[in-house]
Amino acid sequence: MTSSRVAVLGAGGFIGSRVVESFHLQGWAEVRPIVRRISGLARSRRFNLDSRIADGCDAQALRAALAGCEYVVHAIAGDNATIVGTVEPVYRAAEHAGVRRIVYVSSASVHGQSPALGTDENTPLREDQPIAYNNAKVKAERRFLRMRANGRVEAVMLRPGIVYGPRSPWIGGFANELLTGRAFVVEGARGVCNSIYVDNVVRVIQLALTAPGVDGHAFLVGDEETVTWRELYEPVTRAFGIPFNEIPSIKGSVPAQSSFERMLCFRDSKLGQALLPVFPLRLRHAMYTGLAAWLQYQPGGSPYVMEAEPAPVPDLERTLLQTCAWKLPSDKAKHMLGYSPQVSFTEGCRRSVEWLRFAGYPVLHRDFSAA
Amino acid sequence: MNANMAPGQPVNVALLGCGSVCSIYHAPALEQLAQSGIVRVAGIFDPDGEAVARLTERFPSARRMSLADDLSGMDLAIVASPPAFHARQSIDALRAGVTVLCEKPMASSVKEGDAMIAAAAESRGLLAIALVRRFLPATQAVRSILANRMLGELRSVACFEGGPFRWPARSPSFFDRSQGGVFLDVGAHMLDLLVWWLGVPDGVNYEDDAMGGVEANCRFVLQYDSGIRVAGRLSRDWELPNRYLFDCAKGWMSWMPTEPESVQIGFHDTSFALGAELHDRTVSFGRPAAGRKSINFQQAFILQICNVVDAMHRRASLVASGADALKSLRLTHECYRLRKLMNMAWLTDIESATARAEAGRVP
Repeated sequence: MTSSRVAVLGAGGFIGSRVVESFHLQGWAEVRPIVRRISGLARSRRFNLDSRIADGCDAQALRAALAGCEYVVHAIAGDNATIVGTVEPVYRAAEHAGVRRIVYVSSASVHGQSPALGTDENTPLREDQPIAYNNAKVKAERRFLRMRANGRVEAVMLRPGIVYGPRSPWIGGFANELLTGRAFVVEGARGVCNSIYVDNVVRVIQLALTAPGVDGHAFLVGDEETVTWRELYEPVTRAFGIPFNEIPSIKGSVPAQSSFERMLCFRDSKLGQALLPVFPLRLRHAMYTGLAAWLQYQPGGSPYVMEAEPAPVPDLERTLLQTCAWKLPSDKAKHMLGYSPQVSFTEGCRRSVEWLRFAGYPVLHRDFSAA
Repeated sequence: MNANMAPGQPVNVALLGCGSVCSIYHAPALEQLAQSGIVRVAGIFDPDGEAVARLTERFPSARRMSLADDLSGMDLAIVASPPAFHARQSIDALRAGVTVLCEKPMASSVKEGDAMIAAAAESRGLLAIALVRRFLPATQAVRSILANRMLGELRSVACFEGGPFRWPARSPSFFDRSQGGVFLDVGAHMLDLLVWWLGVPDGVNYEDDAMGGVEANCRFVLQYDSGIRVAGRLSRDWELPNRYLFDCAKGWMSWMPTEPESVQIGFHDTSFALGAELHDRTVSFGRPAAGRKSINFQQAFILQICNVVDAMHRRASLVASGADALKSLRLTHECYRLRKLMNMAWLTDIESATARAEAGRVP
């Protein structure tokens, strides 16, 4: 594989940057990092690599960027429009460049944040989930399959769960919450965390790029161990010397959508997409801005009321994730791709805490074993 | 004063380099000063014709310079080209009798920096470096508080700057090795402030994560014989609170580059902290008082150019001269000379071995 050239789209992101780092340092392939804008090169230009600039929605720029590549890893993150909108340009550019296979880094979120017991790759996907990100990922997968049905480039979809590790928002974001006193968990964080250490994702991407007979398939992938959210978070709390039990645990609830959220849902719906272009852009922008400001308006209170920290309110995503009851299986990936997680959960947590130290967090303890 | 510069007349400015720093910071400051008749943008140079055209729209009377050294009629050259060109363009300008305000980092090497200072001395010209943070009220307050030991003896400093890289660089060459990484970029400001506040350190340690390219992360320690220890961290990768924290015998002080108009001060024996917004000093009813709010970050660019103009008229000395900037440039290159690869404990053994080999190839 070392002679093959692999383009990594989204090379500046969390997963993409680790793919670049690992493929290059392992000497596994000749890597070509591709980012949307010049500033996105900061991570990949730590190496002396042939990096390119191309927006995932710009077919012409992508054609030039993918020229000479045999494989493409699509790890572009972004808003929902970007998730869906990059599929066709990337596929067409890959076809033009003679790429053999695209591996699309999708998400286990296509099955929802708290999938029903028994969920696996055969479970039908829905585009009317309450979280718009999930629907965007479903649409992107389906769009890839449609493109593949009429195109020459093979497509493989990977559905990792909660990807953690160096630069992961699940680790760094939680560390930020802890250190600013904003951390909380839902119902003791006892729900199943469908974790996968980022290097296990890198490993399965490697396999998916070259495994025979997997074209058009989607694979759920996760760590070997079944763990809870508490088990993911505890190494971070321990690193900062904060007992896990001191973190507020609140009851999960599925909050009703606010007016603003309902408006955003309408905007993203088919009807909204059809109707909104009728209104001038400035008017739409003014409407969103005005409504958001109105919803944030808080009238003044009594001067005798002592200011208190607002109680945390879990959003729908956090509630569903931390009350999840189902460990998504990786059996299909094991069977068809030969996937076997290389990094254990304990080791993944250890490396994550080491990264916190690297990043400048005030890590006090490096004891990763359970308390 | 330059020979061709008449008192009371606007200073003729040549802009050398029309990249982001010029269009975002220098150009708006020059627009304000042009309205006041203090400067006139008379010439613009950049190899990128479109970039020149965009700036010419803002300064219609400026002529398009075909070469960077085509400086006839200019009094002041603002050198905002990539760092690899700073020395050449500054030296050419100084030899042509033109004052120079050069962007940071002043040069790509100490040798180049020395040559720039020599050129300024030979031509009896002025060489200023755009270390704009020296003009911020907060950095001046920090300097004063430390110099006067208002919080007692300084014991240590911890500073972090950076986050996911968002600067609107115009070309991928921004990440060329000749331009350095985060340490030569934002580090130029950090080291300049530290040297300005504390003096040149007596010992340094430095490590970064460049593995054949340019660093996105770095960490350094400055040690002073007085016992003061400075731990610095810069990143284009991950964001922590951008902050300079000073631990002193009686209390602490903090400055955030994202809030250049304020400082925080706390005392070890109280549970309160001051969130101090900086104001100009004034007099009210014959007594000292806080007047209007001090300048903001953007306005510091105006003051920076005003300082150079005042120095040209011999009304002031330069706040950040080439000789000042050379101190931190020397320190930067001393750090690069001592560089070690940061410990990235998440890499596998094979990855670490390759990383070390590639890091060793960084010049």
